Amino acid sequence: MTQHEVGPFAELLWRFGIVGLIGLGVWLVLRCGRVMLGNAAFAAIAAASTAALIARGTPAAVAILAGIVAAAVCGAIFGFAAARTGAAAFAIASLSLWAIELSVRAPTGDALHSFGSPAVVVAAAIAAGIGAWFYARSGSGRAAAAVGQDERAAQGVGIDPIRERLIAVTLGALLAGVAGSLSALYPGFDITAYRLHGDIAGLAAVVFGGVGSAFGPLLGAVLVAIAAVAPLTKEHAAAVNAVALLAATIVLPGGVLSIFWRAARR
Amino acid sequence: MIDVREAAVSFGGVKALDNVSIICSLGQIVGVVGPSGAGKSTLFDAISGRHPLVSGSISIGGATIDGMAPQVVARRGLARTYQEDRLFTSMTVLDNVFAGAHLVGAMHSEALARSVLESLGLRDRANAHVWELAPGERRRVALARAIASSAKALVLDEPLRSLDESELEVVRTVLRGIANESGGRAILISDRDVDAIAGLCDRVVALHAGKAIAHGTFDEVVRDVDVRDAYLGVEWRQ
Amino acid sequence: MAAAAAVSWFLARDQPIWVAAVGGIAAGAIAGLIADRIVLWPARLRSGGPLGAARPSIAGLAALAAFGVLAPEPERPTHVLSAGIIRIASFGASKLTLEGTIVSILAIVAVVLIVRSTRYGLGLRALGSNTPAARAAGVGVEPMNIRTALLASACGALAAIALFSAPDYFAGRSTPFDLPLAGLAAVALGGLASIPGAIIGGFVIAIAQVFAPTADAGDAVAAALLLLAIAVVPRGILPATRLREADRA
Repeated sequence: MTQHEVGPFAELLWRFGIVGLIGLGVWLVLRCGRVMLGNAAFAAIAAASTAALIARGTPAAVAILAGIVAAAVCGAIFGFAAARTGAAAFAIASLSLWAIELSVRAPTGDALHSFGSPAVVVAAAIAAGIGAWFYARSGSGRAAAAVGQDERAAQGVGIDPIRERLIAVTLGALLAGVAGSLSALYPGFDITAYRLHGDIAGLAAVVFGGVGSAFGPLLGAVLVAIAAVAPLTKEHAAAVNAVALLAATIVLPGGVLSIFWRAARR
Repeated sequence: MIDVREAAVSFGGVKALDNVSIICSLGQIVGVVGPSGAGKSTLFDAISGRHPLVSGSISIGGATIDGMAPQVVARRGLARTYQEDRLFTSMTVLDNVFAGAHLVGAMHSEALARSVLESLGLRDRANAHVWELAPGERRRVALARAIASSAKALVLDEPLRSLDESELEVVRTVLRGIANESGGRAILISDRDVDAIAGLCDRVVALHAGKAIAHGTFDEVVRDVDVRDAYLGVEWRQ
Repeated sequence: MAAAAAVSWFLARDQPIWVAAVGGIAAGAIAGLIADRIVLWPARLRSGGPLGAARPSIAGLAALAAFGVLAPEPERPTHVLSAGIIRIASFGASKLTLEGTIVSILAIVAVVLIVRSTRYGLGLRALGSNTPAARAAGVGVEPMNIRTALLASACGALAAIALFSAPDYFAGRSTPFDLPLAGLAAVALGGLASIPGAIIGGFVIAIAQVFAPTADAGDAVAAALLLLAIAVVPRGILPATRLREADRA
């Protein structure tokens, strides 16, 4: 996304919201013991669908909903194919989503940018975070966590790991779809933003913030958004995200939140 | 309740279980003994749906479970523990046991989980994380999870391992109690150490190299010639 | 990238093609080893924790993305690489491309022989089957990882050099990730833990990409085949013997 007709604060909010939503989707799947390396593809699908519909005169609300549904349906199809595979095969399969990111095309133009407001996407991200927190504490959410911890033991208590993964992937795609559909209204919307770097930003949000809580990806999204707008780093935000993700994965895999948990336990 | 008939399991041509039959009714505790490699865990894996049978059949409560996925078998009323603890490491003790109780229904599962923990002497550890537990406590949490599921059939793989004397007594009392409770449960329990389950089991089955070589009471099995040959080698006769 | 940059460097200094190729393979192998030691080894060391077994995958992807963004695309010395077109009937191919293809085939044969007939290959297969047992039998895990990183990176470098020599390969490529994607698709489609499977998968992917109308469409085909393979034939068309026998048992 290019900084186009928005101030830095609005840009920060847009990025926080979009990366936070994509990151929450990655987090949901990670809880089930799988790494989703292509979640931004569902955002790209939603963005392209929404932009195409708006460009044809469809009311914005309908176009946004259609984009989200398209993303969720694609996520469910992917989940149906990949949920029964092992961890390595799932990660490889999620890489296949890069091809969607590379080939999706979307219209741009001033007509698309009349409705965009960062407040909406921020509200969506926060609402999604709260929803994810409640989901994690629900029966289904605990079942998903159990599958990620020990699939065999989870089966032993009657949990179907394939079903839980399918739910997680579909929900993750739906959240990415919300991000994508709302991003189509962003001034300066550019579908190429979802080519891999959307995935890196989403993963970075999860790893920076911490995987232990639904608010971890949102905290991480704040850091990613700051890197994208800060004068020192904004020109090389993609590289900064990638390098910082690498460093965090090795040095601080629990993310920023883990620092607080450890301090609280002491 | 647990009815294993002529069950056979093969791994790439190696017979891990060969024509094994065991019946465990409600209210009974049946012990499965044998040295390492005898086939105890393979038998339990077959009963819980992890390994398909090459021949024979397994039924729980009269319903055949051959070919069913482990989670489906669990929902049909079977709970098991494993040689390793297999606890959910990011969860508290209560959440681990709660996971077993969730099959009962969300409304009652927390109360049930707490009462099971209390019976196993773990009430004060309910909010502890798994990594804070001693080995004996971990073993009891794994057992608590199986008991809290309220499954009528329990398959317990070495549940007494790592327990000290006082913990052993608590666990034996709880197992006897749940076997005899109203309606009863069928409990299949394995251990490498026959003395550990000596006073607990109504009947014992001895496995060796995938075959059942003796059935009967504990004393009958321990005195069986084939069992002594398998455990001690034929030299004991000299 | 490292291999292509090295080849460009040698060719720009009027070195023979074979010197450039050897230099490129060596550069690629060393670059891969450095990446393994700096990125993947620390992630493997602590593969538990909050990210669990996903840690090396995430670290690898981050490194790939960082490299893709930061590394400049090497200049392709077209005057050298386009020289010498061989024509058979109406088909023409660069002499270099044909030589690269022959060398690649020979390299595949060499890798097969190494994996099947050497002590290194035996240790590699043992580690892949059962790491704790292999370790207990005296197979050094990290020395094996180092040798494998070198060999795998050398293979990747050879692939890059072969493609680098093909006219217009990099035209229309939007990211450097299509090669890893095609490679993974070849393995997933062809068969897990199986060299013949990987070769078959590679041919299927290559044929699908060649006949695709655009480069991006070719990537989409590879991705679709990968997804289809994982969903329908999760072990691939020709998985390793032990996997086929496990299925039969």
